[in-house]
Amino acid sequence: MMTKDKNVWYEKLLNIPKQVIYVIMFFVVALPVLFKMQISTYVTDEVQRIYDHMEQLYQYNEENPENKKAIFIAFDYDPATMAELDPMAFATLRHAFLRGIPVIAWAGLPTGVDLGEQDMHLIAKDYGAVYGQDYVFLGYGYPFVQAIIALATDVKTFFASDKAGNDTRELPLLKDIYNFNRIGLVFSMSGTSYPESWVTYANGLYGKMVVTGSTAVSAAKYYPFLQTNQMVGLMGGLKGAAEYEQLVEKLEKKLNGSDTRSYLETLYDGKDLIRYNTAYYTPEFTPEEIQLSLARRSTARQGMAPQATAHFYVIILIIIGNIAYFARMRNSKK
Amino acid sequence: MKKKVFVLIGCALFFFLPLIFAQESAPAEFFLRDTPNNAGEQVELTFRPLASPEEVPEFLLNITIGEKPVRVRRLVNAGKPVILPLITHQAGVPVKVEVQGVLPDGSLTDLGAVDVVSKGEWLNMNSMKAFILGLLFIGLIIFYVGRAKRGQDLFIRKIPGLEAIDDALGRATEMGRPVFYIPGTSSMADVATLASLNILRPVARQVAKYETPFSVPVKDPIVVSVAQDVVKEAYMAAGRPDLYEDGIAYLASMGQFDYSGAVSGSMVREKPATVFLLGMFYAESLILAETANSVGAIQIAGTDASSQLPFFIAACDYTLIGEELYAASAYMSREPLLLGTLKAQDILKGILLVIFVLAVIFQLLGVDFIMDSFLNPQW
Amino acid sequence: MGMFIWMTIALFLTLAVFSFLFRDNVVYKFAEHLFVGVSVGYTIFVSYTNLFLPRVWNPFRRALGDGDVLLAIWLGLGIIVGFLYFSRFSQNWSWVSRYPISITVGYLTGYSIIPSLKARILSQLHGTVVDPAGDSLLNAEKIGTFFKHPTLHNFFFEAMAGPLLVFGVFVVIVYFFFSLKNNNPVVRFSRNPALVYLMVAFGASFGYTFMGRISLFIGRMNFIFHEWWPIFKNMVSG
Repeated sequence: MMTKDKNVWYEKLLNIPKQVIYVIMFFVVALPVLFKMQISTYVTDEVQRIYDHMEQLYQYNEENPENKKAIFIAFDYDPATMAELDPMAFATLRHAFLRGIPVIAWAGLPTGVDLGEQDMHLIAKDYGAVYGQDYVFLGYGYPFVQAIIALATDVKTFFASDKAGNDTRELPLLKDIYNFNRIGLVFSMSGTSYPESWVTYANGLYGKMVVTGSTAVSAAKYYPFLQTNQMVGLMGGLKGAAEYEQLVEKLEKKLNGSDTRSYLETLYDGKDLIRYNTAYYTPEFTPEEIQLSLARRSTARQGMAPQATAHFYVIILIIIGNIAYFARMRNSKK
Repeated sequence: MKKKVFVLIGCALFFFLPLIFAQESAPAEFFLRDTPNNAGEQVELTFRPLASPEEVPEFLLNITIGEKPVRVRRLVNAGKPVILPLITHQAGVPVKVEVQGVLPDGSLTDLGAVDVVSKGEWLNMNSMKAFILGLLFIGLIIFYVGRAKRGQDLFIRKIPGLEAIDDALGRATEMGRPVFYIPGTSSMADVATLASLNILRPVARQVAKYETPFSVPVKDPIVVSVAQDVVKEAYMAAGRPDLYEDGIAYLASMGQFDYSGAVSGSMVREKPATVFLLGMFYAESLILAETANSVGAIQIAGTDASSQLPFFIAACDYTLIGEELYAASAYMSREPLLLGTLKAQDILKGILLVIFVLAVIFQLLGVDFIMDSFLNPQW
Repeated sequence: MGMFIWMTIALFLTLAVFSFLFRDNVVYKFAEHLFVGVSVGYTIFVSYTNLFLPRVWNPFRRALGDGDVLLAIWLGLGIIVGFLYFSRFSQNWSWVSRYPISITVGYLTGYSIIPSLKARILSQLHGTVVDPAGDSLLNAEKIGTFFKHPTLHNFFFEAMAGPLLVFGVFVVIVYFFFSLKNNNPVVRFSRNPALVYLMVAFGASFGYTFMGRISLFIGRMNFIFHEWWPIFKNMVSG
């Protein structure tokens, strides 16, 4: 056993107390957040493909107004991973509501049920989407396989009532769209292995196009499915979310004008407010809500600057660690 | 076979039909067919406009499904073919589509009608290949498990990481320091835990033979009782029941980080020479591996948790990657079920590997035969 | 005000969890146990309101109300079989719970074998021979592109991508093939390249993991500085 001299420079570098590393990390992340630093990001092919597929679906719906196709979103995540996955869900919902694509959704994890429902109402409010007509949240899609089978036949038999307690037979959206036949894209937002199951069943058995929004931790394992087109798109981690967010914002500016604040302020002016059930959301905005809604449009991109600084910090740590490690190895050989 | 011939004829017809129609230069060609490989809940209309959008901007489809009233659908002539699924909900429903072209002046011309009765198929040929593969796999498992049970020798190569086990145990004995064995932090329901307990047995036997101090800290109460049994049995088999005590395998703590704290603490105090980290691990993997490394222990790790493997590879001396853990468990325990399954899996892998290589080679030569008949998931 | 109190509790719990980075302490333990307790309680609640009611109770009532006796009988049968799970609480009757377990396991295994083989083996192997467009992955044309325009991008994404993929799949499958001897030339030849492939894959997922963890931290920082702080500031300034 080699005796370690604690005072040599490389030993010192190899034994930096963890607390010091954490404190520096805190500042490295907190400062860009605090000063709202922003960096622009480029769009990767796998995210562009999601956007294109959504646009194709919109085209299809324009050509077939009586036979519209919906998208299906599985909120397969819980608060533990919502920092990464919420922005993806937001961007997807925004894109759908902007293009008038109906949305049907459920949550795959019990702790994600309220989260998913909240997210949907929150974004629906930004576009005046009506619950039951433009979007439906079914509740807890469990057990997974049985729920998928239900989605292949008639989801109303499996979900007798939706999350809000409505009879699913009474919801206008589900009268026409109740199974895979009229669903164009299936989204699974998850940090678990649910997207793999979506590929296995929804794509393998029913030939549906599956899009995955995944936490960065599990993103790497989905690339084989992208290569074979079993998945048609992938948002990996905050970076993927930022890319999609950027694409959707561009679209929103094109459709609703560049002044999003005044769009939100005047959204419900002169509209027939009876259509909106206040149980889901109130059809008016308070100034705080507008503030939060505007901030929500760029959550993922605001994360990219601290992400970059943190990555730099860790790369530096890795380099320092390796230099010190090699120095120690060379010394011990002597 | 007969079915295939029909399919072929059908395909040929689809292929030639456009030609026949094209000669008559009708504004559009269309046919209705029962969607294959389903229970008859759908038929599909293939519609190919031949006239340009200027000549016939729109088509009207009068769709009658069963007893339902006629539904009129407007189809804008986009100049490209459309496949329109028509839902019948069940087999045996007659579907009729009458097509009219809308001319630029608004007048209508009849283009004819097509009809079909939806029918269900007993077999979904699209899944046939997977079905045959599944049968083959199950057959292989039954065959090899049977052979293993009859005591026939099934060869499995020794994984390099396993050779390190003997050396690591010998080292601990020479140094007079203890051996730690951590069977993962998951429950008995996890296959990785079972695999780990299978490896625990021979390790414990060796340790008993060498009279090395041994310690098995466990996180799950059920795993504790199983681990105690395994260790006890191993000590008996090694002829050293006198060395066995119940405290060798013990419940360190049930919380994730409490557990890693408790185990790290005892590692720092007892300074083991060898640490085994085999089984299912979560975020605590690096804490354990790092502590073991800092006390100078040789570490043999193995897990099928792909997110924890990078940590083990970085911090440990030997790592059993994914399936190697199961192979090691089968190799060391010689349990017929494990051995037979592993062997069957290997044979299937071998078959697929051969098909894969052949497909690549034939594909290079421009022959799609192997590819289409074996690897294409559709029939 | 109500919202502010809840957000402050969230802030406190976030800080409590981060205090573990310094050392294990009572505040962290409190937050951890609170989290475990709350999520278990929440799951039970959700199971009742989102499983039992819409899946069992409401359909059963609806079927009876509609006079659909057959459906009601089916549902009733399902409910009875499901309730057999509860026999686990009795030592003498716990064997009964094997019936629902065997039904579920048998059904799910049967249902999942075919699509799993299709999606994970056939489609994947198919994708290793040809790309989705139907071209061979070992495509001489693409290699030719590189020789016409020798850039780094063309080298990795056009010329080498296909061959590297095919080779990688081959060596890694051989690496996990246990029936050949260790000194078999194929096994010996493929061992090191396979390890390189595996390490690259682990490295990639490790890098992604780091990004994920930092994202979660950024999420909390965003919450503190952009959601909690403005409200706190408003409160203080009146």
